[in-house]
Amino acid sequence: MQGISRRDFLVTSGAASALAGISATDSAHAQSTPPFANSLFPSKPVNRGDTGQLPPFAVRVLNKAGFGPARGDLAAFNALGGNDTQRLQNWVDDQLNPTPADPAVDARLSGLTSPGQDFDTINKTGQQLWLEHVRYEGPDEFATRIRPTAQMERLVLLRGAYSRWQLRELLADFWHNHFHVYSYLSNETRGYVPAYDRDVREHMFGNFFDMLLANTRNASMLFYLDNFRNSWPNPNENYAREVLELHTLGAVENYYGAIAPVTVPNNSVGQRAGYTEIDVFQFARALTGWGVADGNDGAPDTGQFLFRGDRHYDFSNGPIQVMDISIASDGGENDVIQILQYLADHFGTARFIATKLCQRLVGDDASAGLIDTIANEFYNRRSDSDQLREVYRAILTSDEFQNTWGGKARRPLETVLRAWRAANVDFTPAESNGISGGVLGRLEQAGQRPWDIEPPTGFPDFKGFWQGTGTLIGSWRAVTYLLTRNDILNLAAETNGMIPVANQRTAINIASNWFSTALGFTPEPAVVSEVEQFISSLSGVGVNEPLDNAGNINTADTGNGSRYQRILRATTGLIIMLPVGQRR
Amino acid sequence: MKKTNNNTLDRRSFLRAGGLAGAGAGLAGLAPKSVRVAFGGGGGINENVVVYIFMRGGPDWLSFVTPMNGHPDRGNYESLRTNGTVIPSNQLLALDDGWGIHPNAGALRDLYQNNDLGIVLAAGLPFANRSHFEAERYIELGTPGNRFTSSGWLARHIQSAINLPASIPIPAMAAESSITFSLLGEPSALSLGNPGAFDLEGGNSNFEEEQEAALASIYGLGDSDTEVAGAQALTALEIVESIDFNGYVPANGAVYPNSDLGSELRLIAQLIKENTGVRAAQADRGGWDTHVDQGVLVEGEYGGRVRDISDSVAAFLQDLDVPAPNNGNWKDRTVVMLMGEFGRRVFDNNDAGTDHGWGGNMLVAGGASVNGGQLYGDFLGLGPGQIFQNADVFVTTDYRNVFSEILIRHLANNELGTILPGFVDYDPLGIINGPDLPPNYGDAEIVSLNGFES
Repeated sequence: MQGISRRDFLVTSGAASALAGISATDSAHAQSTPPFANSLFPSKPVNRGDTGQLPPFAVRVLNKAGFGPARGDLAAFNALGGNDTQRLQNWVDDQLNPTPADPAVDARLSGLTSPGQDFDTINKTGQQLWLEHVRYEGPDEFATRIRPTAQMERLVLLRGAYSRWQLRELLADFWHNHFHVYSYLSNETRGYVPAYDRDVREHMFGNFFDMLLANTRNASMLFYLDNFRNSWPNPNENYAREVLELHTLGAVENYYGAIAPVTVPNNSVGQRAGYTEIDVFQFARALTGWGVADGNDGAPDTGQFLFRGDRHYDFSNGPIQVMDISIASDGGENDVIQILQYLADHFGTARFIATKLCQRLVGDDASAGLIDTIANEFYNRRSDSDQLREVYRAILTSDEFQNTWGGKARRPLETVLRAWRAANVDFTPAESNGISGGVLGRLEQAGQRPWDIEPPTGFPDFKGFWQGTGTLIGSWRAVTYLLTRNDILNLAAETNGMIPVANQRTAINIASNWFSTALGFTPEPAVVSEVEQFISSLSGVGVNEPLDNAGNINTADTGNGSRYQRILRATTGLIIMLPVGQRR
Repeated sequence: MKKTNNNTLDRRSFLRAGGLAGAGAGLAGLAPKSVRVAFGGGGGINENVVVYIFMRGGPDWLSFVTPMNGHPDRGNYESLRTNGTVIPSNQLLALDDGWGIHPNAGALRDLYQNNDLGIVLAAGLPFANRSHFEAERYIELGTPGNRFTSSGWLARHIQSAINLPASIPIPAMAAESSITFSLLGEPSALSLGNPGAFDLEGGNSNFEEEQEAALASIYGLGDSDTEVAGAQALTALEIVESIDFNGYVPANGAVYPNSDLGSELRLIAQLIKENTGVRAAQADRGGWDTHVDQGVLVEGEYGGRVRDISDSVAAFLQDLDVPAPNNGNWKDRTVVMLMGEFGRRVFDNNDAGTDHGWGGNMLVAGGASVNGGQLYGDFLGLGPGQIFQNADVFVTTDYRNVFSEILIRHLANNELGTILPGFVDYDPLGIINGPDLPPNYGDAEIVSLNGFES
């Protein structure tokens, strides 16, 4: 469809001015046939089976298990072995064992983590964050309190764009959504994000129970889901419910609702298969007293985890029974720990986490067979210190991971990070650089600013949710914003590096080079032709003619504002926004 | 395998009844089966609008519509609420039968007294589910018991309606940046959070318009979900760009609150009145998950949300009270429905908050289509034995019954088997004015609510 341009539309219909001044009287006489040139209804029928052209293996891997290839990544992947399986195995081995060193990220952070600099909160201890941000009073109070969140969301961009540990960054995003905290909720959640992120990263290649336990003791979560105040009598059920529903067993298969617990059947390994409303209530009792040293009731004000025995359940009211765990007498904080251990070791948890991970890394329609295999891996390794690493490995080396494509729609954050890498954008998204705020603001409009979603479910992870008009326009708005900033990328210079001889800088050659560079392959002929025509029409010369033949283009001019530069921004943006780039 | 208790739809029988093949089954293929029915006005075209406001988080409805002194449950209410969540009777605005509405809901009370607002008490899911995650999906997807349905109830209304014109610029919309579950799976639905940011961003100097045109052309090449979604987004961009949002002046002096919901309803009103063809619209108003420090009084946080809802809905209806094409009036053509995923516990917790519950209310507002000024539904009471599991308001009206009444009497779409598969108990409360049509339940078997297949 060749859309009528906005200007043409205004000229031909005069609609905007008429509509702006519409009054009750006018609309009474308005025609029921709307004065719009376009209609959303009916849409073209969708062919659900069509996932488009299948990109090469390396492109699939780097887009499904990371944020897409940056310069040199495809060549490096292809040099990892003699065949796809070998290359994948080596890549996975490397990615599953990240070292502390992350050269590109470290270089960008160098000097910026000292006091007063752009990333000076990210290495602070929990207690420092608490005292210096959460509880801060004085000049610049609000800015100081939100600074940890402002720095961390920029760090998400920085790491996603530049980290050599792409799988780690993709999975950190997964776990942050799994154990989601809406950081904008309160001072406590805003100021504590760096400590929360450290907990996630410390355990994300380790054991799930350790990650779960750390999570339940972190002030961010304790404040977000209200357990910091949970006390006996009249417990607050919020957190107990979400641990069962979102963090461990999951509601999808394992929530039995308002029935008697004894009527819940056993699962294949002899555990009570799922939880009921009674289990939620009982778990809430166990969680009473599980809180934070927040300065109240004689506690120090440090933000550290604090178990308060005086708020804990009174066992003279009977034992606590959560699924198969029965606790007859007060064990203090061990009451919760043994329930968490039970939940982490439960087969239902294995299935729930396996399902979510497969849907993240493989696709929404990951097969039941794969999910079973992964759930068993998770369950069988439940006592291993590298449980999660081996679970990821099993998914990433599965046939299904290797052979599928298009099972996901790229979410706004993923779209922006891929564009960042594909266009070789070069800048440190620090607060002092306004472009970082520009990108984050546009991600917010697109519906996916990091940590900025209120419900504890985190950002949804299925295709249909991310294919709305607002998501796509918002994502593309962020991409075109990023690719048209001055001084952070130079597509003209890069193009000239690829095509050193000026009279070879034709639409066909430019398109072809950017297909390899930004996509990693050549799209279908009809798309190739569209892109070539696009360059040709912007430059005013034929697809085979050097752009310099146009009187107003000088390809030697690689400055920000040159026409050549601007044509390349539009062209690279177009290539990045192709349908194949929306899939992963 | 799950959810088999005596007030619960058996999952397996539900799936059979609804014709859902199982997890992930799509409903888009279910075709309407009835023949065209002619309606008054516009030669078979229904021009009515439903506006769905979802109160995400699950509101404490007992603080929204509350027993006053003289109501038989006032004493129970006060004794259940011992941690600071009681609204004094003399602050409540009287409705009927001893019920009062929140002191900040004066605008809604006015609508009620003008017969423009009806309230369904004790409505909700046909079985208790206290998970936000599941309850929201069950309700908005229109398929309690299945949260994997690939399309929402409003999407299937658009897909099954046989009384829509051949083309519509914007048939359905969510005034949100992301699509809502109710509209999931219908590519013609617009999600529009901020019209000022609904555009690419290279500007003229970076050939933005040429880029948009090229993208439209490329996304038009295929019919994969990605391509159709992209093509629709680019069409939406053209439509939205052609509208002057800054110059919009609400009619009748309507003043929207300076809130997200106020802006969203203002946007919906404008698009309705500019004849974009909106038949279904959704706006979300979150913040109702009040486990701590609920703040139910006039100055509290909950009270602030009630005021926002109340003033926003009133401004919206005031703004719509203008002539519409074909001798209509937009307010008369519009029904606004408000609900959340569940109500909350009848008692409060230690933290001056309330936890997740079951039964809640549904609010239905509008012009001629709404038979307002009345309370609907059976409220069983707050006394011993009257509350579910000693905790929640018992649901006596399945939310799908209210959806059905709006679908049939207001939107003249009787394809319940497609829109609300498995629901076979249409029994209008009378809250909507309009001609009845025989429901088409499709191939659904009768499913009883006692969990046994018939």
